[in-house]
Amino acid sequence: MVSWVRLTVLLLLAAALYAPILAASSEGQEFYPCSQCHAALTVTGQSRSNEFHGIDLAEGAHGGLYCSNCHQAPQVDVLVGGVNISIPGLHPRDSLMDLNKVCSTCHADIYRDYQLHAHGNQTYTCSGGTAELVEGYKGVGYWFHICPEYRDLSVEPAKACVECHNPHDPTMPALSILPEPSDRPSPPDESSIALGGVVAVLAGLGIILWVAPIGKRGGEP
Amino acid sequence: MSVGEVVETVKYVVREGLRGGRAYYGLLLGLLVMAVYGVYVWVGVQHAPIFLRSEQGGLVLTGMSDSVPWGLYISFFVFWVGVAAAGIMFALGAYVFNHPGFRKIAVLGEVQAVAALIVVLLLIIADMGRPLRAMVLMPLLPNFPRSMLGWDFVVITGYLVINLVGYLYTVGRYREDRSLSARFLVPFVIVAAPIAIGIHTVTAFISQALTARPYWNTALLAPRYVATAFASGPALLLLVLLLAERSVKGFRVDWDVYRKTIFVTTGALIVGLYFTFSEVQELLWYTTEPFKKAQLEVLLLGRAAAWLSLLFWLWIALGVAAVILALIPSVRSTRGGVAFIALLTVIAVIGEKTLTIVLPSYIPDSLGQIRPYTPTPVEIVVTIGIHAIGFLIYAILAKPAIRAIMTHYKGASH
Amino acid sequence: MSGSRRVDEKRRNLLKAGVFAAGISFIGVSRSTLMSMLKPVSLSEVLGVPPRRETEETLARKAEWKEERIKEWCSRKVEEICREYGEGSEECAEARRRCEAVKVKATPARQGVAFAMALDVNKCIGCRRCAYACVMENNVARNNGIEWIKVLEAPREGEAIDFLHAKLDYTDAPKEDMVYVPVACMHCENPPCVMACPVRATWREPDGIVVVDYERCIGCRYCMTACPYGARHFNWGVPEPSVLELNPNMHILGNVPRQVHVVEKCTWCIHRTRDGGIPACVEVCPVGARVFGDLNDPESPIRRVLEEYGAFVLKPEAGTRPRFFYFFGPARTPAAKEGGGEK
Repeated sequence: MVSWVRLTVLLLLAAALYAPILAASSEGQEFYPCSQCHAALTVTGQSRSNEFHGIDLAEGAHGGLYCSNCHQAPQVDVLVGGVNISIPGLHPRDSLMDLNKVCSTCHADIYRDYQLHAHGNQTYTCSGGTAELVEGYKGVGYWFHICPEYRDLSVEPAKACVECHNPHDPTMPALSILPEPSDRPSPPDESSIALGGVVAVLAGLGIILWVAPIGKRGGEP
Repeated sequence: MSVGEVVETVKYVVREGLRGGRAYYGLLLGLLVMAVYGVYVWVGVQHAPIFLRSEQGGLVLTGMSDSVPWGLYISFFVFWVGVAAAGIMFALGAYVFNHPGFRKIAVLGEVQAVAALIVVLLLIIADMGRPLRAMVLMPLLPNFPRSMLGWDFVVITGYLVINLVGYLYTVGRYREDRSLSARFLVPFVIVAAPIAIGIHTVTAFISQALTARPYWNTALLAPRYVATAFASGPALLLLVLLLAERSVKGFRVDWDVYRKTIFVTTGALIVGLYFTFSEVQELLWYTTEPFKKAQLEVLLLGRAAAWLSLLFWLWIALGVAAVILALIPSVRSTRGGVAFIALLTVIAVIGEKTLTIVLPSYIPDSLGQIRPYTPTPVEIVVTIGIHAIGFLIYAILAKPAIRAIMTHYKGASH
Repeated sequence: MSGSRRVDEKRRNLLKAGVFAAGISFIGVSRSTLMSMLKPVSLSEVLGVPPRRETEETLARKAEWKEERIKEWCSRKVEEICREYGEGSEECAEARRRCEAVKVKATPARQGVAFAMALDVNKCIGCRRCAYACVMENNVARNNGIEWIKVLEAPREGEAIDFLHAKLDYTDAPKEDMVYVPVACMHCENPPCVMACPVRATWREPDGIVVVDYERCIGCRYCMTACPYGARHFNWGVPEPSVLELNPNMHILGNVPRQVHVVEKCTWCIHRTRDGGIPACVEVCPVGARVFGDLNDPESPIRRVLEEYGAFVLKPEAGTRPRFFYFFGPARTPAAKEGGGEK
């Protein structure tokens, strides 16, 4: 499940950023380094949208920002603080983690939560372990940790900011709702027991009343 | 009494209890049919995974759920604990107030207590998921002072033992036409009376201290339990006495016993009705406890389970009717009238103290969700079977007792 | 004199008979069976009558015993699966692998640890991922419909969670005017269930986790009645755990497969957290609403949120002092409903 979330977010991000480029190339892996275009292109500090990348900062939770708030104008291919642009799914996690510095310039408080694993970014690992996806209960997928011993686990950050939040529209996309909860299964058909019960009670009462009508039971003294 | 005498008495009870005319055997056989089927359904169907290692069955065959974890069994458990507790009323009349009429039939109160307690224990065992483990663990009382169920186990088994002792002693003396000695009676009453009140009090304490269940969470619960117990228990015994008078030749009960007992049951009914009234006021007027109110609305207005509120209104209607009838001298001074009042009282208290006192605290459940409960055929059949066992034991114990009474009192009517 | 001789004689005869019987049974039983019978597991443990307080040693032995039982059961299931799908099938190999990986631990509580969990009501979107991850992680029998985590959808207005108007079976979330309140065991400091249990089959561990001993539970369901949070669940039918989805990481007090008619509940993934991991619900939460940690560790996530945002608990009037906190974190930006065709 997590992987689907992650994967979709990644795909959405990649698509949003690289749609035109990816469309041009037949294979997703082949993409142009940012600098290839941005060496020649410049953007003013006043810019808020980019038609080519499909970015419009008039909308979304980052509405009101300028490109230059995060990108170093005029070339924009490097972010403020000298961090290189990295794309989830295309770059390794280490370089994505670098991008956290950009986010933390404004969101210092949340970044502190993040650093303390209080922002939904934890996972655990074990040495020599893997994770595998199993589709199980009610068709919901789940990643099992497979470790040799399941001792000495350690908690580590699972994701960089941009792996969940599109920096140009940081609100998380809505997620699907999983099926309704269940309760114990309803009791099976018990009509045979009911029938047996009726027979037993009728037989029992029948014997009592037949042999000994109430009031005339001549029990011996 | 010496060991030999006890053994002789037990032999006497077994011999007399299993001997009788065609009618008596008919009664036993009829009850046995129901009991056997009930036990079969319990062992072979409901608890098949435990006893037969079957993959099928289990408590999933009942209507209970995580929202309503206690149902029909525990409801009737509460009722019969009350009936058992009220057996002491006759012992008090006989041995404390020294009423000759009560002295004569006090042993039947003990018979009723024993039979009711066996129903109680069987109902718990039927309800318990793992009865074998419970039988190993419960007597060890691992969590004794803290868990109310541990207390309940202690007082119920204790009261059962006390009543069996009282029963065997009385039958043993009477059958040899000897009267009961004060050296036995004084300690007996001193121990039995508090435990009698104790069993029902503890039964209420199981539930009344739970903040999780607002409907129960009232200090009035234990008094309510005890009040209506003193209506249903003696009323049931009156019915048995009337039946015994009609069916056992020469057995007579002092009319004063009926008169005084009806006073007690009527008084208890009035107190019980008054407690109900007081609860309703607390819950429906200014309460700030929405949960409690919601649960009471289920009970009073029949939300989610109409039959439950039907039972509740049955309690009000029949309870009031029994009180009114008992206040009319011409009704209460005939045997038929007494029988009718007693019958109304028993049914009214079944309406008050079985499902209506257990289920509302689960509807809505602790997360505010409504999952109505309906007993399934398996539960009903097992409950009937257990009651049949109870009545069977009642009959088998009552018959030697009546015979011993008649030996002692020479059949004379006091 | 003659009396004592008679006793002696009796004893000798008894001894003779004993040796004879032992000889016969030794011939009748193979050596390996005998060795397995001589495992240092006392009858009381098998019967579920452990000492009042489990020591680390008895618990470890019980875990070992349980692991053997699970592997026995598991290999039977593997045979069934292999017969059904074929010996070379993927399912057969998968089942076999999972069975062999089964590890029942008895990791004791670490000194000075006080676990707690907190949930950001502002972040929770009511997607129920935690509830289902929990089922998978904890080997909950799917056929009994047990889910330890219930997610309530409650009206947003009002200062307290209004249970009576809360719903469990919503099909669309998140809604603007609703809050989502996942509820599971609160691991109370003052747990009414522990007080209620007549046989001490449930207790609070030193690190704050309230556990159930499935070998000891008598199924009286008093704890379920006593719990104000509906956190306890009963195996109404015979549980049938699926070997193909078995989580091999088990703890004797946690997610070992249950038996029929016993109570079970959330253990904060005791098999993960005792060994340094985090609960499955925390890991799987897509919005990071859940925070878990050690209250005694000043650097722990839980301390951060409690100090930064404050917290409240459910039903404080019940006096249970839950260790599960709810808090309102940084104001939430509602998730964009359109454009999220995400599953």
